[in-house]
Amino acid sequence: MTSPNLTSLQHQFADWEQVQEYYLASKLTDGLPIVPPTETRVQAMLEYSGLAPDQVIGFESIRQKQITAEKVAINAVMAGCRPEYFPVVTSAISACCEPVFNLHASSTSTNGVTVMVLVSGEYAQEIGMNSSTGLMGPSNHANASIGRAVNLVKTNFYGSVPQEMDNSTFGHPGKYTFCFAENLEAGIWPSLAMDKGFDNHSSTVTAVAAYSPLQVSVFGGKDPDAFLLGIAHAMNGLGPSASEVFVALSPEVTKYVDDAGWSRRQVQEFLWKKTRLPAKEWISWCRVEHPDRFPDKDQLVGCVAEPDRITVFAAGGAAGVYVDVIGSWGNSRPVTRKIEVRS
Amino acid sequence: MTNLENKLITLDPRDESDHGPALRAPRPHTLDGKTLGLLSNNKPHSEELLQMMAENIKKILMIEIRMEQDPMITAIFSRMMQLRQ
Repeated sequence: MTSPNLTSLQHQFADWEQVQEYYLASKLTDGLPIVPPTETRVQAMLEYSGLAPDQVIGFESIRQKQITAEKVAINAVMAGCRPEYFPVVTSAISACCEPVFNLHASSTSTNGVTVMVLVSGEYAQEIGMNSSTGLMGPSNHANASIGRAVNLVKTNFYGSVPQEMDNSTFGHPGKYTFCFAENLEAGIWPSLAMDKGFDNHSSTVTAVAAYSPLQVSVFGGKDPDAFLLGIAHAMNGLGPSASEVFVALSPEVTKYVDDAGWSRRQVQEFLWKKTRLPAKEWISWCRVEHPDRFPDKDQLVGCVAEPDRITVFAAGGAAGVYVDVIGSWGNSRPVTRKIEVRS
Repeated sequence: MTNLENKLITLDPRDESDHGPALRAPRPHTLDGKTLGLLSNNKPHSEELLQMMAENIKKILMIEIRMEQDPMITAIFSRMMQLRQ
């Protein structure tokens, strides 16, 4: 199959092993083998989404990087994506290029954040994403390869190569891949996509410059007034500088909340209020970089600025009474994009 | 291991566009009447460093200097900070 529209530099190899050696030696992988990005595979990716190779998926203004569909497709192939995953990858890349996401700083800073890709809506189910047991772990092809594709675009195209432009002190396991879907079956409120104002047939992807997830065991019974205190306590571990916090409730915990008749808003407001501490307390724990910016030391300061910055949703498997708390880096705001699927 | 094809031709995932060298902004012929802004990047002691720079610059240039404590140094970050409020 000829691909006259593809303009990327071509490399020729005798066999699969040579491909791996070249891409590894050229720092064009995450250290793991890649699927060779042949023209046929790249074209299949583009054709599924109906995208021209030179279609601009996103423009990153600090490094003046114009990210084209062809380059995203090459990296998606390398990550192992199937063509039907490609709309999620392109939407995630588009979200990362929104200025408030701050892709440059988030992918180069000593702060170890990665791009978390959170998918909401029916499309996640259509492509077989895992929203249930072990959703943040290995084995699901869509979760694994979509998250990996986003990270490969970041390193290969954008140039955020670890130990070069990416100077993250500790790194982040999610720099390999960090992608999962909201558990719609366990959910008791409108989907995150609908919560963002999209219709009930729309699916969305939210890109988050995310710290590592913190799993919290739920103790104190089934009353949200009690057990959510433990979640607020864990959120305070992030300090008062996260831009937003994502709170994934396991299905069993979601049922507790449902049985108590709590709305999503109630949970958000409860958590926000319980994370508020006097500035002097944050300062006493050395969690504030510039104490002088809080002239009133008794001023109440929350983990995040307002309840809307706490995204609460159902995720994970049926067994287990846990909550996962994931902070968004303070110099970045999460961005949500609709997943555009060609009908 | 199995050879997938007799010859494998693959595509390069890197940015190949040639932006050319980044150009410096045009320099003014004189600094008379200009204001020099010194913006902290929010790193520890950056404000002290900039303060020291300001004091030294004032010794050699008759120029107004404005110190900004806002850690966000570009319009992008300004917008972000507005959203954070």
